[in-house]
Amino acid sequence: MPSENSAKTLPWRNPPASVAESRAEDAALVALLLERSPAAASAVWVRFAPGVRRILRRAIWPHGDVEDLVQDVFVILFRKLDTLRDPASLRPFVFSITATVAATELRKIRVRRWLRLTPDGILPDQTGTSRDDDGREVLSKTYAVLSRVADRDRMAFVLRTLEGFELLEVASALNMSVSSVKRRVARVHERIEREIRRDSGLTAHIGLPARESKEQP
Amino acid sequence: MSEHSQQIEDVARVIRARIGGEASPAEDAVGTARLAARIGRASAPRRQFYLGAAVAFAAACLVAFGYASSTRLGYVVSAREGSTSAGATASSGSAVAFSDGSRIRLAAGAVGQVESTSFRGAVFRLEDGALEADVVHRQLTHWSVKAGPFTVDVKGTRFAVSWSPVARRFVLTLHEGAVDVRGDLLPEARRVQTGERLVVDLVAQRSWLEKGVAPTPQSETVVPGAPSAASEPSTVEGPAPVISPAAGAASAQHGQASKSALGPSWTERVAAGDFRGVVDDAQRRGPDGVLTQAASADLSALADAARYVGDRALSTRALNAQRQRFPGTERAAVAAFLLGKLAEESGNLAGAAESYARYLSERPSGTFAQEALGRRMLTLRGADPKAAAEAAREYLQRFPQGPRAGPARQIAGQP
Repeated sequence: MPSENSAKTLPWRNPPASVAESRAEDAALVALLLERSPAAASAVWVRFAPGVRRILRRAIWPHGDVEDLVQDVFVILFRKLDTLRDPASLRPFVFSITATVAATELRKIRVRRWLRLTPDGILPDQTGTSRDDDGREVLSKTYAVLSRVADRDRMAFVLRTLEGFELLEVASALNMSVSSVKRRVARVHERIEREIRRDSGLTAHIGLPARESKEQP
Repeated sequence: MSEHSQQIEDVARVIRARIGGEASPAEDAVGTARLAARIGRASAPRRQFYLGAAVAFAAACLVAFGYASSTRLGYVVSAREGSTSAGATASSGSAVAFSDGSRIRLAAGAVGQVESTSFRGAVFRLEDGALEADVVHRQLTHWSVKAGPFTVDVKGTRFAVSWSPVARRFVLTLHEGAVDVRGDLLPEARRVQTGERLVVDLVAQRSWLEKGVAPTPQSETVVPGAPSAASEPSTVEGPAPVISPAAGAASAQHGQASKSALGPSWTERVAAGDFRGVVDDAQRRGPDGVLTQAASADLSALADAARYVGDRALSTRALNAQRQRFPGTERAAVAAFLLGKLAEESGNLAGAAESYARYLSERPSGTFAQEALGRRMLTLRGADPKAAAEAAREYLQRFPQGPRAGPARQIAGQP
């Protein structure tokens, strides 16, 4: 039986060596949470907060501070923990909640955008303010594209392309089929590529082939 | 990631480099404190959050879990040695912790599963072996432990159950509280109270109640049914059990354990939890002689006892002897299943899959068919995905609600 001590000895801060190990640790963590272990509550935060924060930042960039959203995720997690049937599935459970919170926030952003002056709610870049203008430009262009795609497409792109989740994990987190995930991610990729090819400077920066060679073989 | 073009990889690289998830320790501390405040609706002064973030967070979690008290129980299956496994099936040395504080511990070699849970309790099925249960009593609590044809209805108590599908023997020992037992040879629900032990021997078609069984300390890991000097029965209801020794060539021909006035049979001793005694006895007699002469029932008992004390080699030999000497019998088929488990535990997944297949071919609808099919599917997963998928499809067809239906769907590639 896991004890409170095991929460202190398990390497929560380090990435588990394998999926099996990760699932085993998750199950132990849930057991400790259900035993009301204070160490487990902290361990959950330590284990998942960076990933949750990162996904939320990448999902809603450049809109504001995500700390409130990170907390929303954990509030929902603790309140819904008893609905988790497979304790080893804590990770997908957490990231499913994260995806839901991110999607909700994106909807709010979409509403707020109506009140703004720019079409996507992103203020124009100021020239000469960054040491990495090209990188900044890539970021800006990419998120400009993301602001025009469906929220679920955007989340599929974030989880699959940026976070490197397995297709099944993305499908589980977004409650959609694997084929739907593939289709949505491909759609976003295509739009990003098309957008970036329009800018020769960006093409050079990220090593894209010349526009002519791609579009006029 | 193969569907990503190099262009997209470049874009992703830029984004990953510029948008991370890091937070400083101070930000983390503030985050946990704010979370504590939100969940616990704390009204403490803000500075206390910074000073006692961890404490507040823990308290907040307790509040959060309080909301779950009126919903279905959650549970986790974890192995005794630190590693854990998930899902509804528990096996050798596992513990099942429920969200209401109740616990079930399986003895080494035991197999069981959580059949269902509700806000009032859970139903746990013991397939084979022994368990110890500690059920927390609450208003409206209703728990059941099923073992073979027996059902133990529980309100809140501490007890031990053992069931051997091979020996067809059920033993229930009450440490605290009272339970009602229903099942074969029990025409009506039988109330068992603190300090009592109910034994039902389906082979001998007898049941009896022993009284004055010493309660076991709560902290002690109990092997159910294990006798002690203090737990000898002072009162026995019904006929006394047949006392028989192990091993006898004449009766071995018929697969029955021999009897004499020297002491209990190995089957009796295993049912009583005296695993080490049985193994020691076999070692004293000489394992080679025992394996070639012992009765079928004694070979099963020896295999069980050796497995329970961790002597896999002796257990494997006894099971192989069972299969060679008594082919076609129920015990030989069960031996195939147990050989699979032993092979799996030792990391021989191919051998395990083969043994499970053997059991399934001999007993396609046997007691362990569901477990054997599920385990075969999992043991094949790494080396032979095609065969694993085939086993998974068969599992889903035969046991769509089984405890391994989730992994089966994943392996079969079904949504």
